[in-house]
Amino acid sequence: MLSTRVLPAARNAVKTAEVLRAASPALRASAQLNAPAQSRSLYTARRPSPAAAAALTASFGNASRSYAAEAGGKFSRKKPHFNIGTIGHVDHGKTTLTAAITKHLSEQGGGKFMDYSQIDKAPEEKARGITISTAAADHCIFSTSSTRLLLVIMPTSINMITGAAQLDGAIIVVSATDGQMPQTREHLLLAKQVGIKKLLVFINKVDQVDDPEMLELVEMEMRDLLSQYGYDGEQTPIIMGTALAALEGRDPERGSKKIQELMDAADTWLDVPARDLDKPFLMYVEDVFSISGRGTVVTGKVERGTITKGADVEILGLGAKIKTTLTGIEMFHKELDRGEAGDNMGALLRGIKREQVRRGQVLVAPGSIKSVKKFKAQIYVLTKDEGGRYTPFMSNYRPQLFIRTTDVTVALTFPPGTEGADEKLVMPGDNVEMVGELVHDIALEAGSRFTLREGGKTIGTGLISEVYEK
Amino acid sequence: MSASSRFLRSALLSLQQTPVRPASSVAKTFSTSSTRLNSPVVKVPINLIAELRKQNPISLSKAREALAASNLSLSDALEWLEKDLEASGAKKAAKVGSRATKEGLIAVTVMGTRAAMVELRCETDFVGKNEIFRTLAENICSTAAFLDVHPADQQRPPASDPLASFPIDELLQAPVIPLDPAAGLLSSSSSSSTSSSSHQNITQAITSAITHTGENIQLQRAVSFSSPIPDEKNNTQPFLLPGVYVHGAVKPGGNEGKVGGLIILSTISTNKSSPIMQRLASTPSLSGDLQKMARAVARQVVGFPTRGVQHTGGQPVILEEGEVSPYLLDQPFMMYQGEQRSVKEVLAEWARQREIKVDVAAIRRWSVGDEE
Repeated sequence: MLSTRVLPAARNAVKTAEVLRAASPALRASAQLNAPAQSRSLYTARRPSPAAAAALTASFGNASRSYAAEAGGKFSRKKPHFNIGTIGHVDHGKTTLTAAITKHLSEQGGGKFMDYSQIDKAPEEKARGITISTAAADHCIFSTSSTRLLLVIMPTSINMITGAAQLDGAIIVVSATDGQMPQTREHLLLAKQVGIKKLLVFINKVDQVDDPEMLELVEMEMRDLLSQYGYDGEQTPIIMGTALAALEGRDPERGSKKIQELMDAADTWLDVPARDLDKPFLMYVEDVFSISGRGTVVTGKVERGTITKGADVEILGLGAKIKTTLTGIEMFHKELDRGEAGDNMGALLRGIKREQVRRGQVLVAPGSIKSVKKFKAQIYVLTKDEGGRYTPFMSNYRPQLFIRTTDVTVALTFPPGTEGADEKLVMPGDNVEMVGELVHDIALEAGSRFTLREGGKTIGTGLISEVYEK
Repeated sequence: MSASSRFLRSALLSLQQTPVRPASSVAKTFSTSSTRLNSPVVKVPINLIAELRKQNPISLSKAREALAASNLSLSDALEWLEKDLEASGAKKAAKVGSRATKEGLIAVTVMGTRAAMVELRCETDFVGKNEIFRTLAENICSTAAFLDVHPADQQRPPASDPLASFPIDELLQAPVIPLDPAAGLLSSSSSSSTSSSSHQNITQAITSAITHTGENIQLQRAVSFSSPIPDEKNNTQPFLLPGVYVHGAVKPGGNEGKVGGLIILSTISTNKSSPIMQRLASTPSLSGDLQKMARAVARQVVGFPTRGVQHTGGQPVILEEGEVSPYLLDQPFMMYQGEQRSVKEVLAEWARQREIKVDVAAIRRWSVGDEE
């Protein structure tokens, strides 16, 4: 059930511009809100980002109930959620490792054990050689019973770019008997492409190798390869064990102990992603009013961060870069001192005329984001079955780019130096890196997500990897 | 990392920087380390294993076995591996043989008036993008282009469709004929097939790739074309020219990607006094123009979901709004200077200007994982 839910849901996810807006914070947000009383239908209906929500609810089921009860019915916001994928060759034991991790953590009282059949339900997983598990883990006190693990199987690499779940880290699984394989390079390339900054390595099946020097060789080769692909080959934790032993509850020295080591390594090595509240303030302008006697008020949703009355802000985008002070915050006709991510608020701005602010601009913490015209992005082009184009396009294609509350015409070209760019095609279903040039500048940064539309339909979705200032 | 592994690592690094020492001296250095229970009779130094794997990326355990069996000589071990491929490679191929192959590559090759297209499948996208697999697809395709399909195997009336399916069994037995044999020899030692490709047949080359990647690899289908030898006496004989295009090339500028097209243009001269072969010989630009047109048609076939050259009777085609006909001649010829007019119209006008008549004699459009 899990896989069938995730796949169509993930496709739907890219169909509407609104969803994209909700996409990245949705996974964490949805986990945070995962209170037991909420029924699944209510939950999925309220959250337009289906991949994360559906899968989380589907996999969580009763486990969340018991956990949440223990924790007093509230999912603590203090515990960061962490998305981890496992990547490796078909036979090297990704699924066994995932099962072993869930078993180990469930014995520690945090989460629900899932066996192979539950993990490997996604039929494409075996074929693609990738299992992406989403772990929502207590990152601070890993050793206690409050450790939890959620699993979301995302079987395609495409979903990793367009889908809701972003990976914060990944475990590369390598069998000790084979060592790294030629395609391990491609695994690392993919990890790089989807923006994973730090990896863990689990060398599996160590009980099948009798010579410890062989294990050292596997480690050495992995460290060299990691360095070659821009990862920290020296520091990356490499744990050697046997996932099968951990799963079968034997040989704890090489089994469960090593799983614990792997979890500890995840805890200390991987960087905790900044929570929306901790990020610099950004609110998108939806509407602008002039209130006599008070001044100009802009309304919109706070995408991230927090703001207090009296703070300096910057109006950015569509040619503007205006510094001002936020002199008042209003929500539900009440004056407030503070606004935060998720709020729909009105912001009173000092010394700003109504004509100076427009929908499509953003209100940000000064200097926290740049307004640019040019960027590089990874773009997924929807197939006609997903509601996209029927025909290919070529360099200098000009669709509308939708982001937040605005849309701007963008010219898409292949990155400079692309071989055969003049006759290169982009076809529906392609995943392609392109350079975009907007007709107006808007606030963008690496990690911003957008949709591309043309003639009233969504034709693609993208993730910005780099922005260029002039 | 333990102290011993640090030592080994630095030892390995220094070894990489210096020319490879004779195997015996290396063996002496390392053979002093304690032998452990269950270790093979010969203690195999790991730096030799690492070195062997650089030249032939087989699994660690196999690398150790090879070295142990060849008295720790690298060159002997490479030879041993080649011999072993026959037995254990076949075993490995049989073991993974039942696993589904849905990923892979379409490779195309055009060499003047010869052309071929093959589909090679594997299990994951990762292997599909790997250089070992790509080189294999390239080599199989060039082999198919070099070899003619035996006339007896062409189960079709002559001239109806000049593109002949290459019988897979026959192709598997053929020796590997790389497009540029020198390239194989010059490429880095990490390329798997360096030492052996020139002596291998295609089955062996595939088996070798299976041992390296641990994935099932299947040669799915192949088609090849060779323009018939011109008949001096027959003035009306058309000139057949192939064109290819591949979309989503895994190597920049390469000919192996996710969707491939192979098309044949059939050209005759409308100038009665001067048959096409004569025209081609006297006006060099004509042949260049034809090649460009063949490329444009191949791009068109690949870019649009093309099912056939033209609609031949039967049910009328019902198109949704915005949808383009699956029949080539009815499609807007976007791939020729962004044309909005149909392929049929553009092609007719283009040919008229050159006093020739051009027909699209055959097309093939393959995507990886097509259900046949």
